[in-house]
Amino acid sequence: MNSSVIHHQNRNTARKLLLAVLVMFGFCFAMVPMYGVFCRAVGIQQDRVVNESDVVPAWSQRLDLDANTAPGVAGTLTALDHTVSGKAGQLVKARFRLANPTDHALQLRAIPSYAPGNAVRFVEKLQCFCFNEITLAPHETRDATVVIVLKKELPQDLGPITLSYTLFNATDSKGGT
Amino acid sequence: MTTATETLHPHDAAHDEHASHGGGHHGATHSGWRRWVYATNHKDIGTMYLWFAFSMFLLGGTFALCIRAELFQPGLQFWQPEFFNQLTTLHGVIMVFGAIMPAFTGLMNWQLPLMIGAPDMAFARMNNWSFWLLPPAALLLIISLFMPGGGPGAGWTFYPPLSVQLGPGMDFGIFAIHLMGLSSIMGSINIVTTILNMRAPGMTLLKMPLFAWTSLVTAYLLIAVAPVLAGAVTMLLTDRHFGTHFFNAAGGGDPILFQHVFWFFGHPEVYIMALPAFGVVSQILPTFSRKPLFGYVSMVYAVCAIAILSFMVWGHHMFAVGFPATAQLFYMFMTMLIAVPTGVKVFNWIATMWQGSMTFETPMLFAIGFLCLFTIGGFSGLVLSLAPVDIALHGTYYVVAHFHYVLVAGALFSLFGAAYYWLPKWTGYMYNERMGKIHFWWSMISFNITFFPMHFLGLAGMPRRIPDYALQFTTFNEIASVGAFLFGFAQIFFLYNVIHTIRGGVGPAPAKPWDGAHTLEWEVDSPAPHHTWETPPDEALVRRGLVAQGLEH
Repeated sequence: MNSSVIHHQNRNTARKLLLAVLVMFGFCFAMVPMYGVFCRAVGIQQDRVVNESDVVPAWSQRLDLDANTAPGVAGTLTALDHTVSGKAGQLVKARFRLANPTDHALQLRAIPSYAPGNAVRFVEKLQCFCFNEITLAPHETRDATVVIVLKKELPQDLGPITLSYTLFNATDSKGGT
Repeated sequence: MTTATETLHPHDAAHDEHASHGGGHHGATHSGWRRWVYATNHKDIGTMYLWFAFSMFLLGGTFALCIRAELFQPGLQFWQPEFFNQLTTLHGVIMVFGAIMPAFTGLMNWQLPLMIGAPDMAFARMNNWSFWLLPPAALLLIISLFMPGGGPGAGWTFYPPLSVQLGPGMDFGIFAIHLMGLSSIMGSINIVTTILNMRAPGMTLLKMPLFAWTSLVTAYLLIAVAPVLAGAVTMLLTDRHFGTHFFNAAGGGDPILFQHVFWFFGHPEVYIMALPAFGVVSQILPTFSRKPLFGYVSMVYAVCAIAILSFMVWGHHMFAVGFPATAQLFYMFMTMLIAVPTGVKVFNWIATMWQGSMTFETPMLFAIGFLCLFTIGGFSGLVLSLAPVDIALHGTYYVVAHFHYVLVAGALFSLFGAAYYWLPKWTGYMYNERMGKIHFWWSMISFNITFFPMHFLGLAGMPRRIPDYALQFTTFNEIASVGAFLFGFAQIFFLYNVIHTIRGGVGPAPAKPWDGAHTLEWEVDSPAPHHTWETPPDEALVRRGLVAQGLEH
């Protein structure tokens, strides 16, 4: 076999090998997405699955708390935390103080309201003194914590939410609301 | 190329080589330094590779002795921890990429054309470039030490986030790896092309010397994984300077990804260093046992099986990263599977020696030393392949002991064996057998003094890559340090021995100094003329060698 044929063969072989080199260089970068895809596809990702509740948005939602007393109510309601903030998908807590300065027991009821009004779709109270009628003994002071979950769907552009409570006498609350 | 009638006409060969390589190749047209800088002759380039590898071996060895000096006693004696990290990193990088790999490439350059009956490597000019990329790469590594913050100190594996945070020395390390990778890729293309296209008439693939087979498979491995390493360090570079986040968790990347990509290269890499050693030993053992290699075809299949399996086991370097059990079991079983073809090879070597008329010249001693110590390294590898055991031993001196048994007693001993085996062919003189034997026993004993106690240190929990250690590790560290210095000085003795041989040794060597050798390189004169096999060996000559090797009947 003459040497020009060998030379031609050599160039052919080298070209194929060079192609293999380029493919492997590309393969290296392809591994960046491929590892994740592969592990998810064959289901061996269990140790590194991202817990969804671990994903938190970078922004916080401000929640202003406000307390009022209706005319003619002897008890008082004050917000101990005026502003709290939390992230969508998380819990926030706010403390309130109920007091009965009189010498007789009081039957009271707190009514919540939101501003802006559509915030009610994204805020859910898990625990609140407003769920039930409140009976305060004479001169009793009671702290209550409101636990609120900010739903995951909470939009970022809602602006500060104000949660306002108004305290009524339980006896006239039916008429009041 | 299989018929004698198609042999090259010498005149045509000379003419065509002028045409294809642009001249300068044929005949010793260059003298002095030009002979080496413009070298296109496979023997000249092989010689440069071997000397480069040996000088890098001494440099890497110096770093190793700096490490062992620091570890002779607990507490900080000589180096600050940052510099200690740079020592371990550069020791690893220089030994792997500067010493072992170029040494094998040098052997392949020298021996492959001689052994398969080719006039030179397929691409003589690219061969020149492959070599001359290496000295600048080595220089980059050395000057990295003088950068602000020092050299790359992230370990030879360059794991992020440390490698992303280090100073400019790291960039020098990355560029050095780029150059060395490029050199390896070009060298491998040359080797594969030479072996596939330029074999002597009558020498089919399954009749090649086993060293040619392991060279072929090694070159394929390098072509497959050297680009992956190049990509991995390129990603590091862009993470460091160009705002990408491949490995930065804060930017959505994953530092574990680097370990995957690195070890996808890294595990085949250990076979890139081991397979040529297998090839060398498969040449030496039959020669000095005066028997054909036992189970030639199964040896070839074992080499191929090891190469293929080496792509499926990279996860065993990462058992401690928190794999799911499925992945741990997969990598564990695949790793244990590699012991099967490796066992085939070890048993075949033993069977080759069985009932042979053995003599114990220095190459044979190194080959048998390789066989014993590589098997120990293989067994400690089997221990580490067990995921539950590895999680305990990960990052301890047990791992250091393991890979030095396979890389020093494996790759390096086979290189010493190869050097003594082929020195008569290279220099035309016989080396001093007595000095060779002293070198072997000196290396063998001091190697074990150095590295055997590291098994105990690792089992007792001493971590790798630390400049200081708890007091209970002192005794074994002292033993290891003494052994390391003994081992280091043995290699100066080797250098003296080689120079002594070049200057005449104990007398001129015959063309075939070993009566049990039957491969083609022994058919040319000693020292090998500058140009050999310009006319391919005729079929009768090739056939005679193959019959003597038991490959034809």
